[in-house]
Amino acid sequence: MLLRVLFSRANPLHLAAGVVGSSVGLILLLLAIQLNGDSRVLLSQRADFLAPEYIVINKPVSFGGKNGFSPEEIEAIRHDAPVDAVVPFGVARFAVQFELKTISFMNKQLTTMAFLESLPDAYLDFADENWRFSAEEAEEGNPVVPLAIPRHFLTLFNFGFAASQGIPAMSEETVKFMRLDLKVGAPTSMRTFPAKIAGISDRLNTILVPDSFLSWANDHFGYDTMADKDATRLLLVAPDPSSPKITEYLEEHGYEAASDKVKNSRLTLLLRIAFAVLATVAGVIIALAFLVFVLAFQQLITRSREELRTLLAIGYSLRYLTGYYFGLLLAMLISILALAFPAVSVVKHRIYAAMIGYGFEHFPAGLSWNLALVGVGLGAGLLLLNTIMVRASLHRFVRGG
Amino acid sequence: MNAIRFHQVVPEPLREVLTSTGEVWGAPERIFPIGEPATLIAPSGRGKTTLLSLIYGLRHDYEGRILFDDQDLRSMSDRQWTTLRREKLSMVFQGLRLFPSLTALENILLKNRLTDFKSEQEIRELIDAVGMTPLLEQPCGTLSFGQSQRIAIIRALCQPFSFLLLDEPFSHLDAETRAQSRAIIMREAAEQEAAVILTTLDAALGLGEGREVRL
Repeated sequence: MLLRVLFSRANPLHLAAGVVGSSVGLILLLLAIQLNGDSRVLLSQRADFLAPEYIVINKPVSFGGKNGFSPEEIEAIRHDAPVDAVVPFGVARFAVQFELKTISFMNKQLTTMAFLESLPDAYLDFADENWRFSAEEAEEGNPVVPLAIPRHFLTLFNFGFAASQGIPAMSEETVKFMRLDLKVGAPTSMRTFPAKIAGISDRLNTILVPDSFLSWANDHFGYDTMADKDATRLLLVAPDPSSPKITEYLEEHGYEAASDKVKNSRLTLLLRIAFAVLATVAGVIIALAFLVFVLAFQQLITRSREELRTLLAIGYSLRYLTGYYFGLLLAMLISILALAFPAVSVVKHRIYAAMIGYGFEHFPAGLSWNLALVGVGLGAGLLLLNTIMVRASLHRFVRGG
Repeated sequence: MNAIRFHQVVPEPLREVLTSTGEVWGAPERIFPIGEPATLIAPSGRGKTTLLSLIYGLRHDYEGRILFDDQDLRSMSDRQWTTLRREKLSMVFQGLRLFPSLTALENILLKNRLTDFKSEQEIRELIDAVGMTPLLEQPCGTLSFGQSQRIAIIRALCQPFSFLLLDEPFSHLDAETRAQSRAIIMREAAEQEAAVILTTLDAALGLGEGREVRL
């Protein structure tokens, strides 16, 4: 009965516009929040795939300039950058030469000048039982020195050099059986160690030896004029390598990141911008929709003002009528929310279904609790605003105003 | 609530119009005691509706003081007005204020379910007493003004009251229905030991008993 009285003059079109607009706005807003939250999970996963938590950085090469990191600079990075650890590459301060006896080319042995670097074993991306070196054995005999090369080298050799020069290609296994000689020392007096390749690295673009070997060899063969003592490359261990903060930090200090991990952070940044734009648009839509909603409701009251005045005049209380509108609005909001959450879920799964096969495999399931918080918060805000406005109108009507 | 007192009350809209002091407007004191019927007689524009609206709290633009017993009307809260309108004051408005989309019976029930004062049987008896039974289920929008007046009167009777305010309630009623309506009003008022205050242009459309007051 009361419903018929109060809605006898309602404009269903306006009310429907308010409800539909609010629903669409809410769905977009919740979707933006949900996708933003999921993107962190998704990107960290994608980054993992690209060997994520490690970033190798160096200074840009400049003519005649030094490009090593001083201990102070390393300390500064350790302190300021959003990273868990900063690991300088160990540098060989002696001459290095490889000789490959098993393969001859144009009746000559393959010989090359080279360099060595090292990292603590914990930061390597390969494992091999031969990856060890003991100083005692080196003092007494001539132990085999394990080496690690980047996978790029093997690719270059197999598909560039070997293929064009008529030399057989080598698989990873064959390479590991190959013996070569490692000559270290001053150019005039070098000591020869047998060496073998024990690791092939996807992540580290350098020729590595065990840290223990390099420090031992630097003690024995190193000479100060040979090279800069400072490390020229640093390995950064980042908790969230796709975080744009790392990119910002590196750019700010003019450091170069030697790999494409950082692209992820650009992607993240782009995505965040996209979500921010989506959230802003959703926010504007929702603000407008709420405005329409509030105005429609206000209009409902204004149109029914005679009925409301009469109801108040025949003894209906302000509290009862306010409560009545509160109940109506609550029911409307609950239906909007009940519509919005499944809609967000459906859209989310549609999006993820389209993403399968692009390197993403695990998708965060379900909806975030934040959504419920935001949805209920907005609903409560709208409810409060409307109730205050209804109350103010009714207060006038009680006194015949 | 035993009396309504007026002390030198002049409504704002009548300030310029009133040239002389009447029995209520501008009078040092005018008391409407409980249990005493009063017919307020005045030509148009002398503030009959205004007087009832002041008592009912729908207008507040006046000088002077109006008291319910010892409480000044100006100090009433929204909640107090609501309580008064449910328990002490009942009114038949000049414009009736029925809901045109509701039927005659629904209009009455909308009020009665608030107070739960009458049984549906009692309501039907009242309706029957004024000859409205055949039109019970008709939307009020389709009733004549005289028919609507009788519905509005019955609605006003569906609550406890100390004062029943009637604003020209018989203006569109013939002699027979007027007598019927008057009878149920006076019976209900007597049962509740309440005062009836009725306004009219013409003494013939008054209560026919009690005091006559010229505004």
